[in-house]
Amino acid sequence: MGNGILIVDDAAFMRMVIRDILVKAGYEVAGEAADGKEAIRLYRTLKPELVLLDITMPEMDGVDALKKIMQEDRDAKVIMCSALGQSSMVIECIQAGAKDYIVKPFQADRVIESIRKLIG
Amino acid sequence: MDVSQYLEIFIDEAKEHLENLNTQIMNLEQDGENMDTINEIFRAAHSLKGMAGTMGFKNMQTLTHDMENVFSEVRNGNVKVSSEMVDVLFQCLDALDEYVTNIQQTADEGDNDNAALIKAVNDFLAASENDGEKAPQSTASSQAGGSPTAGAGAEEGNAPSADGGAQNGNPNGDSNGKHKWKEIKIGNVEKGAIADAAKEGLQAYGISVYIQESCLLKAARAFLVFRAMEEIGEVILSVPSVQDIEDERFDKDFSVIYLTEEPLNKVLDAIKNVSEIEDAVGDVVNLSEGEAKEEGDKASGAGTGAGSGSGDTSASKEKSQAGNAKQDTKKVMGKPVVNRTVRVDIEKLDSLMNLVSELIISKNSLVSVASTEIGTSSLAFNEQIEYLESVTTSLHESVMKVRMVPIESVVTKFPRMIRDLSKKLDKKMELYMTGEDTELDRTVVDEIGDPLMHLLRNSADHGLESAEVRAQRGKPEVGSIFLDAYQDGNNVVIEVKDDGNGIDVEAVKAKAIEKGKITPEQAETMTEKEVIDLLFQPSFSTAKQVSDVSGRGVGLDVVKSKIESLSGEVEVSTKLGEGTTFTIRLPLTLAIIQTLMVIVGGEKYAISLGSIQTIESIPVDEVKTVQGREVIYLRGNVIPLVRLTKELGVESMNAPDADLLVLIAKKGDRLAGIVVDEMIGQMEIVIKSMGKFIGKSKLISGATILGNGEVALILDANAMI
Repeated sequence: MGNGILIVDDAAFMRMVIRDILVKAGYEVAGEAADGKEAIRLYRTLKPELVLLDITMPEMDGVDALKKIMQEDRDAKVIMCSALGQSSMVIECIQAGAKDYIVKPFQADRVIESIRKLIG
Repeated sequence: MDVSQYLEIFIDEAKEHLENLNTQIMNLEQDGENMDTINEIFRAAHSLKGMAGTMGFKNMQTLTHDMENVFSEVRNGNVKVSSEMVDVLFQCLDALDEYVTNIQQTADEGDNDNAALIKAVNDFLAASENDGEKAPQSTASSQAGGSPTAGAGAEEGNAPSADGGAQNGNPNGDSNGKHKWKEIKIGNVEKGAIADAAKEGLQAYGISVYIQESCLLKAARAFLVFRAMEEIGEVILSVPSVQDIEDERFDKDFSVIYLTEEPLNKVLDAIKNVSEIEDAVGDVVNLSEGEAKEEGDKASGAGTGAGSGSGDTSASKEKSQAGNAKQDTKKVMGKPVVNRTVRVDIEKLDSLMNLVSELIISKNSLVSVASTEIGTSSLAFNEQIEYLESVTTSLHESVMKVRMVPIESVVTKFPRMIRDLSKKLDKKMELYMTGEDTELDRTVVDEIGDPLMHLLRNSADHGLESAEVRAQRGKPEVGSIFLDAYQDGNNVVIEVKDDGNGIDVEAVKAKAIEKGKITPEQAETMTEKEVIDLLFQPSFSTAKQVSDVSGRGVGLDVVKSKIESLSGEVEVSTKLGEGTTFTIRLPLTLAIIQTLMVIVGGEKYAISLGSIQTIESIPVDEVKTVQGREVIYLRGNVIPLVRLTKELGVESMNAPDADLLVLIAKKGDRLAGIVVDEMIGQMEIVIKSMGKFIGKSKLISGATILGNGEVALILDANAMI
């Protein structure tokens, strides 16, 4: 534990925004991935404490990536990053084991609150 | 949140998405049912929306949101792609482009809310809803179970009191207050379950959960609560039903009947630990209390209970099946691979390039030291210099490659432009592009867009004939325009070709005479090439009518001067009635070139090696004079001589009867022999600008610093031909 947080989003812009939010709140960023496949690969190698996982991505979307991650690590802590209008997908993710979700556009305190509840 | 620091990356990425959208929407017009394309458009619009929202660009967010909605419907098969839709989508792109441009210039998206456009987008949705609305509603009500009226009744009964409770802010008010669960009508099935549970030592609680007003995606939040509860107990009844919650058909609270062996506090804490939960209240379910209430509407109560109970499981099964189906289709559709890249400011590359340049200069000076004193005595020193030379050469090559970008970023907007032109000019035409992956120096790529756009417009407007004329000439109705790019040695060639009318040389002559550019006598003796060159003179347009497409004062002269400022050249070949080809030739890089060092009149000069074909030694008596010009006859070609001493106004150091040293230079299909005094050898040099103080000289294209610190001028062989 204590390996930091993995940020997964296809937009470099969003990754940068999230990274800054995390760093400002004193969290460590384990790494960044731009699609689902990379997320799974990095999850295996970095063993992050928590994953912030975007839903809409190329290659493999967040829903499938989440399922794969949960399959490999039942205790994985994954927070989905979604947008309005993705309700059904978020529910699917929660049923698949996502611990929480945050909605774009991100409010820093919401993001941090959600992370605090999971990893303190 | 302070977002200004993200502006740069936002703009970069937004532009990429817009380009992508442009291409994909073009594809969509060709094939309106390609799921790859539709998904890609959806994804790009979605990403843009998220980014705009984060930056606080509301207008942009709204527009992309609505675009995304339309595509969501297209994806689900509820809306068909029509050509009107493609038109509207292109307008959306233009509007988005405008936002991004505004943002780039002022860090603000501007006030244009594009209301008309948003309405147009939403009209597509409205049209689909009229057809599609019925379907989901009927399935929802059938899932609610055998007694739809009872289900609806329970919901209606809940809603008003929910408001009342919230407004009073009175958790334990006279009626049920916040304990809305008390209004749940517990059916016989649940009663049985509660009784059974009691035997196993489980307690039944009624719980009402309130989600914060500000919460987005309430349904998902409710599901998190459900999961928290299911971990330590069992939800046997929920109002509204699970299906309704999933469809977000609830206000901001829901109530459940819940079985657990844990104390109530622990359950409530677990619920409150979920983010964005305002409050959760509950108490032990007292069955006898519910009894009296339930007696009255036994039938309907049982209906609701059984209905939602069985509805839950079947709904969730369906849900997961739908999920699987979705997954399967997703796997089938291959998505484009994202390049792994690092964004680097072009200025950083420039400074890297400068350092490489400096390194090459200092290597050159080592070479010159080596050839004089110490070097001759030390073999190792020479070896090291050769090594250094190979390192600087590969370093230069890699830095150059880093600066190279495919011209794709410029040409992707052209199909769209031709499509628009086709509509505007009412001519049918098709653009065929090859070699979009051809790479050029970033600075060149940035500049090449306008000239190419102008040439394409020119082809579309002046080149291609109207449909009637094409029919008369036996040409296909749809005109073709070609944009071909390829690398040719150290140059990149871009051709813009059309199968239109070709250039009417006589019309050009007439126009030139009319404009007073040439006299009728001159016109008589001019070659076709010379006449065509007139087109590149300032403000020369042969179009009889000035349309708003081309011929708006910006002429081919601008194209030519732009290309020349990039050290390139433009050529035209044309055949009346068959078409015209504009050929642009650009150097791969601008900063460092291979040259031949020569001496003329005691001074050193560099001539780009790219333009030199061969080097010849010609006896003086082989020089002939034709029409007052010196020429030589070489391997079947008559080649005019250019004596640099004369051009530069210096005295030759050689004896008048010595053999001439002639560099045969080629430009297009023309040759010239450049006479120099002496040759030093091949050298890689760094081009330094002459600055603005020295007037523009056609002959001299720059200067360079030699190894020993001397300055040598760079001669432009092309200008001599």
